[in-house]
Amino acid sequence: MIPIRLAIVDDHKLFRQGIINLLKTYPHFDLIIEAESCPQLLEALAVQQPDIILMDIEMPEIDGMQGCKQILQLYPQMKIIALSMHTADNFIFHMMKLGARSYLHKDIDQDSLREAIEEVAAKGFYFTEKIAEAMLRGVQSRSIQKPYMNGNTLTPREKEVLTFICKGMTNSEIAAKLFISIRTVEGHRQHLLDKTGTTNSVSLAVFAIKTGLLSADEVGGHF
Amino acid sequence: MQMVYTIFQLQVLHIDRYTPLFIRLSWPGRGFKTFIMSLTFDRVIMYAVMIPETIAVVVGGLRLRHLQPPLRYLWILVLFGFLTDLLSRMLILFKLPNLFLIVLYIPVEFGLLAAMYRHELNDSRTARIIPFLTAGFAGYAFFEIITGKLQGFNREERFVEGFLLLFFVLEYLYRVLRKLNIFHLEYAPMFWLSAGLIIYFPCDIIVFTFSEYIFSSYSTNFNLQLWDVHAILTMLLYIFYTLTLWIPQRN
Amino acid sequence: MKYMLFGGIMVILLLAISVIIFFVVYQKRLLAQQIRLQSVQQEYQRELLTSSIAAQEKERVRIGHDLHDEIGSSLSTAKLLVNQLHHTDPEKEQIVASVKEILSHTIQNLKNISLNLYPSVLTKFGLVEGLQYLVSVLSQASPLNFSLDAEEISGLELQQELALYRIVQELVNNAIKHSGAGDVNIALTQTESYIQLSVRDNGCGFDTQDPGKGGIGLKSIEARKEMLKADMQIQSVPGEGTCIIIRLPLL
Repeated sequence: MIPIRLAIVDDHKLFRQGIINLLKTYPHFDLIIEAESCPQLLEALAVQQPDIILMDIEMPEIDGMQGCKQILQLYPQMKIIALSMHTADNFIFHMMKLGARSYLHKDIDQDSLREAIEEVAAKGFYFTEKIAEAMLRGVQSRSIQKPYMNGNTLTPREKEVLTFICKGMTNSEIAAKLFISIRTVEGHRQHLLDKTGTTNSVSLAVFAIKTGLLSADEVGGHF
Repeated sequence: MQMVYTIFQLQVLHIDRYTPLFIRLSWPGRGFKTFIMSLTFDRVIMYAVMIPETIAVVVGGLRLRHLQPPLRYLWILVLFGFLTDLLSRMLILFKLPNLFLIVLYIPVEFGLLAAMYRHELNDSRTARIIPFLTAGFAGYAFFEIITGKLQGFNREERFVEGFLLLFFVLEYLYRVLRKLNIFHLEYAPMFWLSAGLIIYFPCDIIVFTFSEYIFSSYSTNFNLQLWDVHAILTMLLYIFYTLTLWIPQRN
Repeated sequence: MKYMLFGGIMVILLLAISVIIFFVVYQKRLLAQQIRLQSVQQEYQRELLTSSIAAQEKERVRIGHDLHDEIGSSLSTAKLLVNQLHHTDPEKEQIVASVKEILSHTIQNLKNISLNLYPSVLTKFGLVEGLQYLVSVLSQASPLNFSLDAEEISGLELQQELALYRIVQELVNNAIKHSGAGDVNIALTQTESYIQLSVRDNGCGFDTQDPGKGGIGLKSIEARKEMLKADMQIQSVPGEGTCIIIRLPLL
């Protein structure tokens, strides 16, 4: 039997090791990549690709949702199983929407985990009742709120938001301009602050000028 | 109160230091009809003063129900002033002395105005001594009646009255600035009353103070003109009274 | 001399008028200043309140998040590992089973605690989704019937949504603890000018006039209501139920 090649990415060392130990007990599972974060995983993926990636959703900097998106862009055939402490429908639905093949609760027991991995390897997906419920709700719901996700280097969207922030626009104005929710704008703003290591709009503006994103007179009169 | 003007119309019957003037000023003819024919500015003014007074009485009467207690004093004052002036004019027509009306008028005027300010300035030191002041004026009037000084022309009394009332007005204004709880000054009746008083009394005090001097040293014409000024001031004052009675209190 | 006197009177008159005008202008200016000062103070108070609530939320989110993810993960791992323990010895097997049970319970408790502290669904997906998740969890956990009628909400920042969520949490807790109700309904609607949140139960109600409803719970609702600049309306009929409506004006 061909061993199923697995990768795991989770920022919790204890949990990671727990899963690894678990998987070791199965001879047909071959763990080839162990990563602490998505960037690390991406590096490892450049060298060799597994069949299935077990991905944690809540990770600092780049979270599971963003990571899932990025990886599937680079490796569209990749099968990703999401792992999370979250059980809410919204999380499940969104991960599935982003391209995950299954969604498992971290509180899972051994057998279910094995079954899930085997099913995904064989059939390409593994739905539990919970997943089915969440999918049903998500599909039937009228309006889906897009979640705000963590990301790494300035995404194009973030660059846009940065421009508007430097022009002195408020969150509501930016949201209206870009047709996104205020929540998303706040998320972007916070990320801009985190990524640039600044603490307020003024330093953001300075950063923008320094990195050549905006010229000084574009920023000029607003501060 | 425009009756002061009438001292010049006193009949020869009452001989005092103003006598020389009276003979010259006595009516050219008899009766009401002849009076109307000899209208001059002075006389027009003298009777025109009754107009604002009447208006004030009427307005006050109409709004009597809506008026708060302190403003009712004002209406009584306005009514009293109106009646006093009416009486003084009638006395002129019948060529009777009317100087005694001043004696009665000043305490009443002071008493009513002071009562209003006492209500407004409650629990201040001034408010507490107001009743005593009113009693003082009344007492002085009583004293005057008893000693028969009715022909006197109480310049000093007017001066004291004006001075005291101005003091009340200033205290009221000070309070308004201190408390800063009146949002629309235009709608505070006491404000209009104070405005009227502050415009009337300083000028009136001057008129009174100098009238004696002018009378004795200068021409009659001058004196008459001085009293015209007084008349105009009175009209102004009654316009303010009317405003005070008319404005619905809003805060 | 005549002109001096009249001139003097004119001067005094003008002086009096200008005093009045000056007074009015000054009073209005002082009043405007006072109002501005008051509004600045109010703004400051509100900002203080906002930042203290924000700080509190940050703490809760941090703790809730760490509890949920870090500790939750570790506990799950422990459970996984314990699951790998198989003992032939029935006694030891009993102990292992007990450990597994304790771990399961703890993980469940942790979920509940962290849900109270850190509404992860709200943070990532918005108020409506957050409320839906809350309702579904509550329905499972308690015998009461919870229902939610909500349309999508736009135009609120995270702190505001969080504040509304906390208010709902508090109100629902009150309903569960005190009202003995069978049904609890949460409704969220948005119009052009305001966002309205209502929590309704069919419990025992209470007397709205009774000030006894104090306690810390209501205070935290007060604080958030202040921060949101929202109004709260309480309708209650003893014996029939209670309906609490929070209305948040939009700019």
